Amino acid sequence: MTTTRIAVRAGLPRAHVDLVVGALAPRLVGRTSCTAHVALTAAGMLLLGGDLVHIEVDVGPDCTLELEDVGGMVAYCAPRSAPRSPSQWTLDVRVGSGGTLLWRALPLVVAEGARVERRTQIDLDKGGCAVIRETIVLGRQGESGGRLKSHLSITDSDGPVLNEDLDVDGSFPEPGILGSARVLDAVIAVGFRPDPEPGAMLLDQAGAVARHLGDLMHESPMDDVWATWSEMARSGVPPMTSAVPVTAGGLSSPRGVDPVRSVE
Amino acid sequence: MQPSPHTISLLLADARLPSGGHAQSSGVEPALLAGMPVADVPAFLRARARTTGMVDAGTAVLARHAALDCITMAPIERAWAARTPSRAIREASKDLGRGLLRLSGRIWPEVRSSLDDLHESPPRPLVLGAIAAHAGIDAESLVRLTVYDDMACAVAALLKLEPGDPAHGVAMVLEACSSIEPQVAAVSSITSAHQIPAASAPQSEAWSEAHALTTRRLFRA
Repeated sequence: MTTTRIAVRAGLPRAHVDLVVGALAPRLVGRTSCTAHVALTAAGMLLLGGDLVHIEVDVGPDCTLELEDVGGMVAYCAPRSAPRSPSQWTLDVRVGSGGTLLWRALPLVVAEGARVERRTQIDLDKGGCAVIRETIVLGRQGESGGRLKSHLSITDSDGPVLNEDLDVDGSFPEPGILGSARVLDAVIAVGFRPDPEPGAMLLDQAGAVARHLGDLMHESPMDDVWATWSEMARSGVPPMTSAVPVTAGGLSSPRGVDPVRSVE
Repeated sequence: MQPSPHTISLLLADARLPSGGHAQSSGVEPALLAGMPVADVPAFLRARARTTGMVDAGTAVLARHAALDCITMAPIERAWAARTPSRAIREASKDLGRGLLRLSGRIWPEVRSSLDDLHESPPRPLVLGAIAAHAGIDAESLVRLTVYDDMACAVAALLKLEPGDPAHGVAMVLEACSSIEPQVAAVSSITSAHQIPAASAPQSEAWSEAHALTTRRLFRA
């Protein structure tokens, strides 16, 4: 397992961005002295039974990192040779003091027969904040979906902010957990108190969670919540419009060919 | 002569205890108002027991330790709040905590001192944990008490919302409580805040948030 790593540190004239290709291939879209915009694509076939995916994100002090998934992801049925072998997806995020992470993740589709264990740890230093889009779809069209165990832990410098373990199986829907909904679309904002959106839950610490539970992704109003909250988090840092574009020729880095890519 | 810890467990689990439990439905009214069929209540209660129930039970166990060791409960309250993202559910728990604390002021005045560094209205599991420490209730009994009280509250409310055979309600309580038996030993032996279960119930949380805004309700939550 090669860790996918995305790290940004403020620098002049442009931020220093480290990108390491693992199961995912991060590509730099633009940057300023303290912001970076990075797109994430799968570096190979993902997510298969038994896959171990590890992603490390490090946002330096006073930097803003905007991460964008280029495609959603389907977790496929475990292979017949190892039917009980789960795919493991581990994400470790550190946001330095005064830093901001904006991650507009696309849906994770848990196909029938798939078993996924996802662990997300986000640590915010003092004054750090994050807005994350997180979408789970149980099953492809016509399927009831596989099994997902998702552990989310967010802390700030004083202690826990949000801990959530979601354990769902598309074949055994439970009232009160997801009920008959196939789609759980969420926007999580932490490190600041966003404007309350209808139905959003205000956390005890600075932060809020907005969710949509339903059958169809396109019915979700979370695009608007994402736009509002990410703009609130972004405000106060230089706008991305001044980002320096990176030429496409220097970006492509297939899995296993050029495992480490560092942009000075 | 001191009452036995067993008697105090029975007292705390008694629906007639004047602590405000009668105003709560343990998420049942929010669920029914949101359109959940009555037939789903048994499955709803099992799901609630393994999610919210285990979060509260683990919190109560740690609060008991903290009260016995005379250490601060603030990190435990914060860990509980991080596992309870719905403000409506946090507020409901604080209502219940306030009622229990008022009662304990008469019976176990020393309970208040265990909770001194917390807000005026600590949530229910922290107060239950402190009472358990002062009344000599063991950790496993405390886990079962925390879950049972919540389930009994749910079914008492259900009988008011959708009158049916009370014996059926009793069967539901017992079924939901026995569904968590395999976890009782593990939850009752936790010793630090990061071990508190964090199982989440997104649909129930959404129902509770919506319920807090409606005026057409019998119960507070």
